[in-house]
Amino acid sequence: MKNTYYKLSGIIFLLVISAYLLAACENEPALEESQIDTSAPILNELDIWLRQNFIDPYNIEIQYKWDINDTDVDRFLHPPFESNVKPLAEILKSVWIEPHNKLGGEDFIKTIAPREFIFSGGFNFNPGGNTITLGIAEQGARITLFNIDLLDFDNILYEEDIPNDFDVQFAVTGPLQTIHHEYAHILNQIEPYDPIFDLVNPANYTSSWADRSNEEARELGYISAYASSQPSEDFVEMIAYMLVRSSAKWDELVDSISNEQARQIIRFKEQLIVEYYQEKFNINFYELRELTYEALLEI
Amino acid sequence: MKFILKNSFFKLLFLSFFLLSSCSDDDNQSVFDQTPSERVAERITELQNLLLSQPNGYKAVYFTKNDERGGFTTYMQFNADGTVRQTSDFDDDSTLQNSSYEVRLGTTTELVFTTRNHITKGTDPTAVTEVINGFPTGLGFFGTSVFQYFSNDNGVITFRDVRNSDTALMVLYPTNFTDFDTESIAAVNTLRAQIPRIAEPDLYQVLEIENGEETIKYDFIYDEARRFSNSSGFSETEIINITFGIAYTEDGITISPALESGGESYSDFTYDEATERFISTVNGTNASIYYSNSPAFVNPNDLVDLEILGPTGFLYRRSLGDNALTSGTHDEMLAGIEANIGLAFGSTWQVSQYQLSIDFESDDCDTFLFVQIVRADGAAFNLFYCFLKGEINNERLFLTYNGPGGGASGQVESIMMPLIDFLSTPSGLIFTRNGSFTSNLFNFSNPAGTFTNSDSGIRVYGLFFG
Repeated sequence: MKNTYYKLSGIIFLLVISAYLLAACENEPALEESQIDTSAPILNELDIWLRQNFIDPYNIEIQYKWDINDTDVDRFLHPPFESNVKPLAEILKSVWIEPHNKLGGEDFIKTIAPREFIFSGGFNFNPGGNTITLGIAEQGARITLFNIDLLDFDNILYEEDIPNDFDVQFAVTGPLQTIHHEYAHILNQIEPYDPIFDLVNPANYTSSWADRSNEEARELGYISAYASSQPSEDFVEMIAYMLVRSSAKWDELVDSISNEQARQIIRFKEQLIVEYYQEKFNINFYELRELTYEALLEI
Repeated sequence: MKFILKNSFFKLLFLSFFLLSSCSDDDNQSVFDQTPSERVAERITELQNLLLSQPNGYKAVYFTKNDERGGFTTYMQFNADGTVRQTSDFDDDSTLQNSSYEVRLGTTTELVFTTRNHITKGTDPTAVTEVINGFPTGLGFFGTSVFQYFSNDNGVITFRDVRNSDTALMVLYPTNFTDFDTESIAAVNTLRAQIPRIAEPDLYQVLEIENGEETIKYDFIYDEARRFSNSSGFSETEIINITFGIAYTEDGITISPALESGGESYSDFTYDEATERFISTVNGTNASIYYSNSPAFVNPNDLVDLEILGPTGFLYRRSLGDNALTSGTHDEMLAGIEANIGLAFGSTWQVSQYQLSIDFESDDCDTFLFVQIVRADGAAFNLFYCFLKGEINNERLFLTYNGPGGGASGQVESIMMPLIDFLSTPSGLIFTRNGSFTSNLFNFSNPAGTFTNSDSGIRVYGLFFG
């Protein structure tokens, strides 16, 4: 009897609740047009070109219009000149996208690529004085490139050939090396590299890498000072250095290292990278280097 | 009652009554007439229309961070196609440029300059660099490209920067031009014409406040690269520092933050051609900024140092490099002497150095001027000129010339008289201590200082051997 009483009281309770809930729907208006402005933004010629050449074929957005949230809000950065956007975008296409697609398949970049590039006009100085940030790769989704307004698109410079290494950042090789560097990070996030790379010469990795010159780092078996910061940076710096140089130029750089053991270390790392591209992506790295270098010469 | 509380059915009913009745009556209350999205859209349209309402654009006065930097003026003409045309007085490149802008919702309704133009010079880190840890590091003007819409006061639009919320302000005034391109460039040239009036003192600059009861003077130092000033002075109990940023106007300067003194607030200064001063008048009181041959005040500690350092000898030597504290008039004086030696003796000559030893006790030529002149072939000649003992009166150093020393000194005395007169001015020399020696070539630990002849407007910077 008691159970029946409780069952009955439960049913009555549900009926009361349902009555309230259903009554609440009585006066709800029919769905109308969105109140949010969904009209297309103003597109200039450059926007249309970028849509046709990056968004449509590769699902990559080149974001050159300033949004303070795209970069570190604590840094004082500025947007680029509009006139510098298309030349750099064309370089991205010819020197980065097309060589990878040719060897890795036509959807290689579309499948594994950052979905967004942010272009920033000026230098990104780091607090503390002696370094600037050239580029940032975020979670494989976005690459930010700085100082694009200061580029000489006709100039190919290598740090080993000039007294001031920083001058490379004013040449087209500067951002290209940054792109190859950051894209290699993205590849690593998809396919990790062989952990043996971390054990090749771990002794001299340091957070004070900026106190080292590139030449000093090379004598220790790292291709650049930044490569000596940690193994993951070492791996991608090797890739970036090789992809902006010809075979001969790369050999010349390695042969310039006086320490024989350091030379051997760098050659061994080179071998690990070649194997990485072959095993993980079925790409012949030396062919890729040839294509990227040829494209660089044609800029 | 006991029964009711124990019975689950009534407990649930009681609870549901409270829960359901709580939403009964307030659904139709509206604080706003429009939906949030409508209000956002309206605010965006309002600003967009406002920007487009001036076909010949706005004059934007932008103080990026008024506790460290000054301001600059950008003329901007907004177009409906999302482009904006600009020129500015930020630097000597006033070329008109087009770029993009957007009005969008961010922190609030925002005006965003989405591509680079004159206004983004305020965020260019290379505009101001400082050596940090031994490396030149870009800091710039700490500006932004994203401005929060704050108010519209009869067409004068105020924006703020969320990053520098207390120190940044951009105000847009309608230009009332009839031809934006021509008149904006002309206006920029007018603004930049203020620079030599405030940023290129040969000697000293003074900030002076006259409030009817007293005149207060501060040493005024202006850094044009930062468009920021630092004024210092003494009160009876403390050293006073006043800082503010400066932006150029058509008839003078405007400062931010305003100068507060004696209950008055000074912000707009007009350049007075007659007195060569920037003057702000408020309620019959004046604040003015001007070039001067004399500092606003003499630090008594400097004179104590002079008594110690003077006997060790003061050195001006060209090979030690340049310092801006040596006036152009000083170099002109030496050039005149060199030309006259050449006229008298042929060849080309240089006053390579001079030393001034100041003794405060003896009249026996212990206070003397040693001058070295060098001929084009490298031959050097040393000259000596004697002075009576140095005296410090009324915060100035008085030197009395007492005739030439040996060698060729007497032969070229008349040619050297401009230098001797510079040092033995009847009005007395003004002395300042300036830390340790620094020039464009060297930094030494030697104490450094300047001597100024306020009558002739000549100042020399050098080091002491002591």
